[in-house]
Amino acid sequence: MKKSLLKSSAIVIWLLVWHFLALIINKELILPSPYITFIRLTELMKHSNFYWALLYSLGRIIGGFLLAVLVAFILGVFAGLNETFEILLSPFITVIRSTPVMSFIILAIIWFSYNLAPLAVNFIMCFPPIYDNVIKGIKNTDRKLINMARVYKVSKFNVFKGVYLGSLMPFLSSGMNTALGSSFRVAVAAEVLANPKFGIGTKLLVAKINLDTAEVFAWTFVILLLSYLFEYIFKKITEGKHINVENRKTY
Amino acid sequence: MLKIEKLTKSYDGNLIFENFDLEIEKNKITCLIGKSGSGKTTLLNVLCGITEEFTMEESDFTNLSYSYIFQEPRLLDWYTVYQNMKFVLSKDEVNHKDLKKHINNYLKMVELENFSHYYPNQLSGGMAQRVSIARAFIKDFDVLLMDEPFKGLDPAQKKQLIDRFMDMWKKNRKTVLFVTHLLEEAFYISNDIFVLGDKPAKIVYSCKNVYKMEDEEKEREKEKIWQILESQT
Repeated sequence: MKKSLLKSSAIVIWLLVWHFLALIINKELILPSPYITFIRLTELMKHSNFYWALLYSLGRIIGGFLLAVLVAFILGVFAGLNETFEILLSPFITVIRSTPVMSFIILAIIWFSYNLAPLAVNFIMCFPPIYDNVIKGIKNTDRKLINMARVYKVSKFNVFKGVYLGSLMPFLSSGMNTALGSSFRVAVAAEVLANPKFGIGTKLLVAKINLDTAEVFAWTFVILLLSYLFEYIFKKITEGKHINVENRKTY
Repeated sequence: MLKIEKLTKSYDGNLIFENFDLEIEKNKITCLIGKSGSGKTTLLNVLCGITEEFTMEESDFTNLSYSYIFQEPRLLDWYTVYQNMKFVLSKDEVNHKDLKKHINNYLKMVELENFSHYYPNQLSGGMAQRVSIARAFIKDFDVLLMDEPFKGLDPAQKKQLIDRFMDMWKKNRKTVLFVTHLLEEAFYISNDIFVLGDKPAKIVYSCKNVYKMEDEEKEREKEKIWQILESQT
């Protein structure tokens, strides 16, 4: 209770700092106040375009993320179980990890449609943390449990489901959490450059061209809110399912 | 009788067994006693196939089915007690009409029927080990291997666990190969006791039909084995 009160107070304090800074600068073009931003946001919400932009962006964010989870999981499992496969994939993974996001965005625009490019970039940026964590999870699987399953002649499928999957779950969820955090930033940045018909990034770009700083702030607020909401939902899903590392006690 | 002949196994360049022979009686509890590092666990792992790199001329242990009670319960932390029991059952066994009843019966034998929905981290060490005993017995095995399963438990828990184990064993009287370094445990539950010593390991002493012995004779044998174990470096 005390902690949540403290958290709320911190938000209020920073809103006040923002408000007073805006008062001092007194130029809406440079720093609009929280009030003006809020008003701009309510104006935006009156148009259907706002919701279309939201829907399309969310589609790209969730689509790219889920695709990354699926592909990274499958490849990660194989790489975790087979070192040759892991080594074979490693140059590809290193390239993904060290290439600047901007290069991927530009390449994606060249290769895909404007609509799909942000999704593709989001996928490629979400992939490495999930993949790495899946491998880590597979490699961290307790050999003793695998041996136990072997003695009892448990089928390969059940060993995977019961032993490997169970022990890689906390790793997978931590990788997914990291990927989800960057997902919003990456997808919106890609939209700014790809400029699809609908998307939060496109809206940001238009606002910038129109020198409508309040709108830039309003959209940024929407992105932050969505990102927070998704992380919260994700946390709620993974919580209390006995897949958090801290819930574990090894015998 | 179940026997192995001329087992040779080395680990990290050290010869653990060289032409090692062992013969144990079926449907009895045989104990292998030895100091730590004498190769007891390695032998169990060779027999059930966990360890693969070794040579052996003859073995009656291949193609047998095993249950194994390890030093630690080795339960899946993300599965409930019930799911842990179900995990080791084969497809045919899982399709058992009364699977739930079947599992609960075994949990009842270790007095854990009310804990089937618990996760291992919600159980005490002794309770978790009881689950692993129930798990071992629910499988239809030819040989039960036990690697110091009562280690790390307080005396009261240990006594309770051993008694539960004996109750369950008396129901099917299958072959048990039990490994320990504690004399009391060995004499309490075994029919035959083999002392593992020397390097590479061999049977340096054997004591058969312990359950038929008078208390005085048991004490003499205990003293003798204790001295043998003490003389081992």
